[in-house]
Amino acid sequence: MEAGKQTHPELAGGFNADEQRVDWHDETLWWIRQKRDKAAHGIPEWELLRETASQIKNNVLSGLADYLENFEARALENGIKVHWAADAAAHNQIVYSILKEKEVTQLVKSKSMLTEECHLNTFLEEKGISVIDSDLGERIVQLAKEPPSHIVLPCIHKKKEEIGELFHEHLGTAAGESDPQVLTEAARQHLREVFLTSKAALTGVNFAIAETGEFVVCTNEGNADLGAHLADVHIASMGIEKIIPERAHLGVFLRLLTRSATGQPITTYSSHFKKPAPGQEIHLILVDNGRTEHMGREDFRASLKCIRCGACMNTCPVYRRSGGHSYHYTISGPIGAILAPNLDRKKYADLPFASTLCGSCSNVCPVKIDIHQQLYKWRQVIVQEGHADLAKKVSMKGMSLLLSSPNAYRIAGKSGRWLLRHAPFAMNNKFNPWYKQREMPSPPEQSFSEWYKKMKK
Amino acid sequence: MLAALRHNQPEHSVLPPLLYFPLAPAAELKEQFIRIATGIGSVVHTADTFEGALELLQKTLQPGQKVLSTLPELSSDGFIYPGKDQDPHIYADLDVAVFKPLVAVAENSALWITEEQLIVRALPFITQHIYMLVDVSVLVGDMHEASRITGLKSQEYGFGTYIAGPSKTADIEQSLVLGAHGPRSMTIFLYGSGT
Ligand code: SF4
Repeated sequence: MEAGKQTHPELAGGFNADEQRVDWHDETLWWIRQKRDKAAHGIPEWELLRETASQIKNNVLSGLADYLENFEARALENGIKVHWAADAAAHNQIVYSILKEKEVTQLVKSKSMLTEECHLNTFLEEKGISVIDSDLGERIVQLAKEPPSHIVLPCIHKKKEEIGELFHEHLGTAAGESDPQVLTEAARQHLREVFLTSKAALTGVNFAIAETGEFVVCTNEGNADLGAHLADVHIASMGIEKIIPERAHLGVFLRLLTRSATGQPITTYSSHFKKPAPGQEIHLILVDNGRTEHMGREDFRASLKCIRCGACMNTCPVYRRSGGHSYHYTISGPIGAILAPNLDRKKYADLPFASTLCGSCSNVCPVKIDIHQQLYKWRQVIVQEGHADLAKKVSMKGMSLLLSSPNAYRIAGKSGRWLLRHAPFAMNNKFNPWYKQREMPSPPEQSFSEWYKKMKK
Repeated sequence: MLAALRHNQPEHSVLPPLLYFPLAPAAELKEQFIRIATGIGSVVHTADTFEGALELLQKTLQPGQKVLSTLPELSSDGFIYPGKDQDPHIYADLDVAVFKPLVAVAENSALWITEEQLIVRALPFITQHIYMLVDVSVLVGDMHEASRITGLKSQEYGFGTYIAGPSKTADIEQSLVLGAHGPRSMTIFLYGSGT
């Protein structure tokens, strides 16, 4: 990524240089977290839903190969063309060959973290195909030539004045205009034109149902549907873990997804694509890109249950105060920090250390992934595998913070030497100074900035 | 690829039982549906009968608007009726589209509609405003029940969607704006007694 070799603490340090912006970012995300809480508390059976979703996903992982075969067979019967991609390069090549065959030069895309993971845009642009992201937030970061900083809220790090400037430059809005209503209207007009003139559309997939061969795409803006229904060719890209067994299970996930993400009761659109419309083609690409390998890691495979709601980011004290870009990986926040090392342990050795292990992420996760425990386990693996140079540096600096607070002193007395030497954060949550965070709206200001200041050195 | 996956998968883990929650009384569902629909930006009108709802609907239309409906009851009177296999691009300047969804969900005000009522898939997205005629008797409590009904073999579809409210975005500093790419407004005409 553009971020080059900078580590999370270094990048976070840059983000932290503007204190007001950090506070604003922190508060905005916390506000979303609170909306999530309100939505969750409105459902008496919330915990049962989470447990059920978790068990369904456990079942999916244990039978994924069969489910995929089943899904493929049903989808083919339904008239969907199915492709398999072992890695990002294969995925991009498939997309390109479909577009080339149809002589398409403009692709309209709705939100798909998978295509970000595969770096599809740059690949296609090098081949002379223009790619236009149609989700408003994604369009904004695309115009700014930045990656999304959040999986659900791609431009959560941007101020409206900055967006106004971008729109002034690219969409011709008045200089100084920063009213969200006006800017959104300008984007609407601009993207309408794109929808109406694109012969091919690419969407992500939220859920793919093994029983029926259909897939479900959720958006609030309606961009996935406008793109897909107005194009001759609809390409849908999905990671192989997006499978759910039966259609009847969908209710559980649709109840959880958006309440966890933004606190809405459901997204505006939950569209079920089963068969192509007359005269239209649907291509579905099933992408592995490291997932099979990940499945083989007993301690870490649970992260494949993720439904990409973003709740773990919104609640994370480190994410909120360091920003998505500091993670230098497509998926940021706690879930990104446990997915990234699977692909490259050396490059992302710092990410599992970008956490206080407070456990708030695991508490909000709608599919009950043991996120903070995986972060802890990754730290051990990274140290053992000798990628620890960086990791140690990060963790030793973290330790100096712990030792600087009286609270942490107690931990030092109570926990073994080994922990202190190797993974100072990996202590029983009870003794963790961030433990309070679970219930408190924002981290103790002082110690957090101190922590980062020290990490930066 | 699948052989490697099979090798790496964990041991079999059983599926949990399907969830089911008893249905609340019709009046409660109706109240909840209206509250939530209004909360997410829809406008809800109620009428005792279908005819009453149609009358209300006619009154909210403005002269000069390009209005489309797939309801046989509205096949005259200046309503456009879409044809199968039409190029959706011809509806780029559509003002209002009127549909009658098959299922309405009280817990989130989502309305389930399939290709059969849409005729042309792009319609509920391309129109500037969307009108929904909802019979109280199609109300269900939650998404478990909705998933069950909409998954029945008798409900076969090539494309189906739940729609909840007007299209929206909050991508610019979390300020909610209605009318992102799809309809700028959703108006629901809820009618009947639910029996
Ligand atoms: S790990 Fe859990 S909370 Fe985080 S994005 Fe995935 S599903 Fe949501």
